[in-house]
Amino acid sequence: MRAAEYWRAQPAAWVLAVVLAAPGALGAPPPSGSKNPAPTNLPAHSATNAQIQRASNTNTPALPPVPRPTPARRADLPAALTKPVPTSIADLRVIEQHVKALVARVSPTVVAVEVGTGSGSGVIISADGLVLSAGHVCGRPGRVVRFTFPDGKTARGKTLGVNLDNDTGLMKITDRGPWPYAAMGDLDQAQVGDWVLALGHPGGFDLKRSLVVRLGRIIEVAEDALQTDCTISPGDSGGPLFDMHGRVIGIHSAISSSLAGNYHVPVTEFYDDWEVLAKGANWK
Amino acid sequence: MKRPRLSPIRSLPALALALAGLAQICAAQEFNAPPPLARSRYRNGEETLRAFAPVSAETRHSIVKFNVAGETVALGAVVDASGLALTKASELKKGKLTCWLATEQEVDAEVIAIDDQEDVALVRVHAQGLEPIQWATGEVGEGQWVITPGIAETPHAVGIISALPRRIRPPRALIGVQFDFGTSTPKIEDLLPGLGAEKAGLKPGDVIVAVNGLAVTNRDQVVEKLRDFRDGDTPRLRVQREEKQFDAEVRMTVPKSGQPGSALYFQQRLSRMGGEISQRAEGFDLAIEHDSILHTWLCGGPLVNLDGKAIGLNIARAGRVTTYALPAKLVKQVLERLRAAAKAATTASN
Repeated sequence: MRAAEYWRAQPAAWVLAVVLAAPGALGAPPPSGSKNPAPTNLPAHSATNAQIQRASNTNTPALPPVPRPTPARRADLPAALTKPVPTSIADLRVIEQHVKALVARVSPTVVAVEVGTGSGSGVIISADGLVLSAGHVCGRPGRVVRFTFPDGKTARGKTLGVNLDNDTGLMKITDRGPWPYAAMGDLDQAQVGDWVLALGHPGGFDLKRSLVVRLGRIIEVAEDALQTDCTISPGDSGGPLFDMHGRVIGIHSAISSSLAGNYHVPVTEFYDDWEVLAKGANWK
Repeated sequence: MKRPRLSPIRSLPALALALAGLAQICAAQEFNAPPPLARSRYRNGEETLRAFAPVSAETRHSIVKFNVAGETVALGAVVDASGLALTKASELKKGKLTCWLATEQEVDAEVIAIDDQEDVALVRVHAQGLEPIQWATGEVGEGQWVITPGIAETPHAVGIISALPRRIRPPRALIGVQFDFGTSTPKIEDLLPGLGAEKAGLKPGDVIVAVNGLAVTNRDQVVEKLRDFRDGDTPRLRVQREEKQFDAEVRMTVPKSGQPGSALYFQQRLSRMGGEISQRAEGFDLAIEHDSILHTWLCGGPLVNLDGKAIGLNIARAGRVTTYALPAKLVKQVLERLRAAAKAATTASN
């Protein structure tokens, strides 16, 4: 059944798309962290992304160019991850080993964000601190943002462009980097059934808990939405969906009441909106 | 490739500025996209679960399934071949307790001791030939598979460890005051009708100066101190009213939906979207957080790794993204407490 038919066929699932930002006032108390953290220098992936420019290098910073996805080949993944379904404990061990390593690699790039009284999540995609998040977490351009790293350290920044239509939003850490960052992906290779990892801060940042990791599979791929069975919840909004190469392929956006109704903005929407987002404008 | 646009995200913009809102999902036009993933291949789908069958084979004779009046209420972990099992205490409703075994027998069972702190019960199961669950040693890691086997050939649920063990506070209970936000001192501005503070005779203008004998000077300290009390607890507040000080025992309450103060729990309710959660879902000394989708009546059993070794005991379905398990180390301590309590009870009755 197509997703569209699915929604029509299930009145009970004609549901609540809930905006996933958590009200900060009810979230965890602000973490006790340094205002001027010493950032990790190691990028989260070894490939250098020449396309991501450091705006701080120039006096009149040009707009950062559209980020290019880091190339990745399905064939490079362990076979257990690309099978239609795992069939043995050996397959499951391979997946486990891969996922555990991936979690350790990408976690430093995921941030909790506080904007006004709301809170959500985000992912850093450049050494100078560009952060992908959800449009509804940003709200509008030019707002003050407080970023919190998984270890509780914080950094300051602002919202750049916002498109509330497809729920893309860009932020920038204004404190001095370099920051750990994640590789960007694309949907060229994304397939229904791919294993994916969702990270974020459901319920807001909680130092004793920190990041929450979830594993699932892609249920449906469309131009403007990825659906997965990685359960996400308020506060996860803006957080990253990683493919098994460790590339960001989606940003958490909405849920339905079904546990399989978890929707992520495909990263390709950011590429399409890049000029507006990077300029710090509102989408018209 | 140009992909079709579908989806609920289209319906979000009207709400996007609200912190949380509801919208109907708009059905989209027909399109040509690959078919969605078959449900049987979801992470918790039956084909996927089949890959975990060897784990169930390893553990199913160490698991029991408790019923009250014919309805399944919890799983249990066998801890002694003589027929002792641990389970989630608060799920054992009143009524005749029996349990199903992997051998498809149904046998009688009785609770012999309860640990309220961690919500664990020690149960006598009247059966022979049960195999005690084997506990895993060593650390658990984020991203590691966790399996909730039952008495069947494939497990009930699988997931990964989402966050490392931590203390889970009890649900936030209220004394029912609104503080004056114009000052940092804990000065009461208003009282919620029907809650503890009003019943204890507190009045607007009163200032809280101590909680259970510990001095407090600002609002945040009061909130922080009170966070450790549960529904029904009655901390002693020292209150300053004009020149006089007095003590008041104030009952803490978790307001039910619709009662004064329940708006505070709006976010919590949102985090529950997608199914029922355990009645007792918070207040554990230490819990592993995992993302297994578990029915409330399937808590109480062991949470195991790919080797079939128990890394913990499932203790609560706590939210859309959250299931808690008490780590093996804590479960063993609780078991010792329960054995001691059971022994003391037997001695006393003799």
